[in-house]
Amino acid sequence: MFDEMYGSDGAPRAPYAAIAKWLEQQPLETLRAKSDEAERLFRRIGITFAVYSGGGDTERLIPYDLVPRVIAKQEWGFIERGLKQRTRALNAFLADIYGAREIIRAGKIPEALVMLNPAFEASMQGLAAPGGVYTHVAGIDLVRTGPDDFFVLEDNCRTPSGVSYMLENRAVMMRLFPEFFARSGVEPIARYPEMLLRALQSVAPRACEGEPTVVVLTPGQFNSAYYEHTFLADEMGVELVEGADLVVEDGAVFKRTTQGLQRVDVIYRRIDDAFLDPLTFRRDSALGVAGLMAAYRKGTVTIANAVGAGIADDKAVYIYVPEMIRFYLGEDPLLKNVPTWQCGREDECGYVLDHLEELVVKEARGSGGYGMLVGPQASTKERAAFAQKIRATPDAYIAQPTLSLSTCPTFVDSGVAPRHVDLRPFVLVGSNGIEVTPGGLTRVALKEGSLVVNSSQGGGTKDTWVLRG
Amino acid sequence: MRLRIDHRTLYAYASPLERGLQIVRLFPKRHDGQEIVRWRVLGARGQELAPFDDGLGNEAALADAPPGARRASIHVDGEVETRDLGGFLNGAFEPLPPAYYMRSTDLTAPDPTIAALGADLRGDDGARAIALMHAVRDRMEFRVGATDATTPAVEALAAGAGVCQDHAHVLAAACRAAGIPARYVSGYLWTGVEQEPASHAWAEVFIENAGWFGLDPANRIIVGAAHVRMASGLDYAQAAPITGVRAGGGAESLTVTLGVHSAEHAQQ
Repeated sequence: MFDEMYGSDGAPRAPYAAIAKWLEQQPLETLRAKSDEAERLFRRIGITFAVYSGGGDTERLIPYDLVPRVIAKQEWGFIERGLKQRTRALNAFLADIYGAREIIRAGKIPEALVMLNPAFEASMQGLAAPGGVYTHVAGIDLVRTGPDDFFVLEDNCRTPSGVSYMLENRAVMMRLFPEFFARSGVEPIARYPEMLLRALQSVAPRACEGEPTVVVLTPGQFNSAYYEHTFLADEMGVELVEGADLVVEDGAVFKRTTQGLQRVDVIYRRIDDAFLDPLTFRRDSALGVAGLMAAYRKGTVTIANAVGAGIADDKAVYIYVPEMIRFYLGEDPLLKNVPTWQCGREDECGYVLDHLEELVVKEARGSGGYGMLVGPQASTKERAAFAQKIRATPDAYIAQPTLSLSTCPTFVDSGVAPRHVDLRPFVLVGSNGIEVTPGGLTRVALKEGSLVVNSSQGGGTKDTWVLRG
Repeated sequence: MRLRIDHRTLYAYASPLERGLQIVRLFPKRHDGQEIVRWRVLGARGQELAPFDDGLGNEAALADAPPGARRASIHVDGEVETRDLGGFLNGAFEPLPPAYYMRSTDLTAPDPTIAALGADLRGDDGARAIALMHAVRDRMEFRVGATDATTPAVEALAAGAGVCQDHAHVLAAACRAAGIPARYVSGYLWTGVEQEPASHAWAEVFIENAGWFGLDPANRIIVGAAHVRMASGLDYAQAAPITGVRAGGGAESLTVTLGVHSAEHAQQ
């Protein structure tokens, strides 16, 4: 087990030297008081998220942990190159899949996996997205198992969320410990909204003249990430709209305003494909904009992330991402994939069922940590019940070895103790290039020994520091 | 065969519309068995609708009804030259591979009854598809009113009756269950007699090394020169001639007049 502060031998690693010293100097009561203050700040900001199932209080704060997670400059350099490489390949894949399908013709990815995939959208076929960008905001989830071992756990190419937590965590950190933060030499992240706006403006339709009008499209206040939608719209200085605020006329998209209709050029949508346009997708959707896909196909508006981008982050397609990097970029992948078994393949399913006590099994189409089995931590009964589910619909599951995720010092009831973490960096893609905000959102499993970091499953978050020197 | 089409769909609303928007898939595309002589589709204000490519190989257009309107209309006025190519669709624009047409949808999801239709059939894919066309028609009489535009294949087959749309859905579902890619096609049919005021629908199946092949299960025939092909997709929802959403307007009444005339026979 690799601890990011103490390594494997117990001596603080260089990037954590200052944190280790600082932690030693903080009495527990101070940490407790600061932790309470942090919670009050988050409550005042109103940053909550909705948890599905389980009943009770569904609007919750995601617990914030005081102890920052630190990434050295060199480590980040490597991660950043790997993220850019991977995101370039994912975009190339999407352009290809909705274009000439060269990668299928070359036999590098099975045709049926793509064509029968629910995330494949035929209405995107032949649509050349402006700037060749399909996933404008990618959240590439990383885990670390050793000093030099980073793995991509999954890609999120649709509407990855969490960036508001990344930014608010930093703001709260700076407020709680201004001096400590100031002398630590941390890369700033506050430019994210500006970078996002620039990326979105860069993919405006060709027909757009002058400064493109960007809007954030939200499903509304009942969505679990509504806070983030309002936050990003505010920070970018653009309007937050719901489907009912937009209308398609003469093949273009307009925003209703008190002064009449105003043309919209780029829609940063935080609504799932299925609800975007009742004329093309689910007819019962009241969240979308009728005729939006027609406007998109006519090239009068840009949708970010592109419709159908989910085909690139499907958990079975994930297996082929290293192949995509070689195929489209002619490079060797920098970031590793986690070995993955597809239960839908008979030979692999047998292995999975025989090794459940070692594996993590996930729903191939699921997200948010719902419906997964962590074999080593499950009871015999839970494993048996899960095996039944796998046998019933093997296609629905994939399995991976249980990785020994790195730990970081975390402030818990008993004091400061190691807890497992992962990292979601946010990669922004515009027609002008790819940018990655230093760091990302660190999620931490607050329960001792737990490997599930999802906020819906009791995970918390940390500020993530990339050091300048 | 030279076919002239005059298809008018009129909507009348009990109260003024707040807003209405439709997608119109009434634009035939050229293929070896179908040349477009002239074609235009007019919206409610008499404006000619400009089509866009919908991704599936069809042309579609948006038609918006002006706010406050009490009426809306779509008027198709065109002429095509068709040729009988023995059911094969050659020279068509095919953006998606046949593998896509193995997907199931809400309207074409199979059940054991549908899967059983083709389970014991032997022979090549073409022979099995033709046998399935007859099997579907044997089990479903043609009856208007037994189903509506939202009836899934399983329900239509269970009801034992339906219209061309239902026959096409069940045939597509049965072919896919038998491992043959299949799709739903909407269009017009010239029958040589007084027309029922409705468009037509049939199915196409993909035969390896031969291509897409049209089967008209409602009429138990192989698609030929009497068929005018407009749009195709996995099911009706992807190939519907007109679908729309509206706000306001109250009760809607619909009048459709359709003439498919053979220019050679000068029939009216």
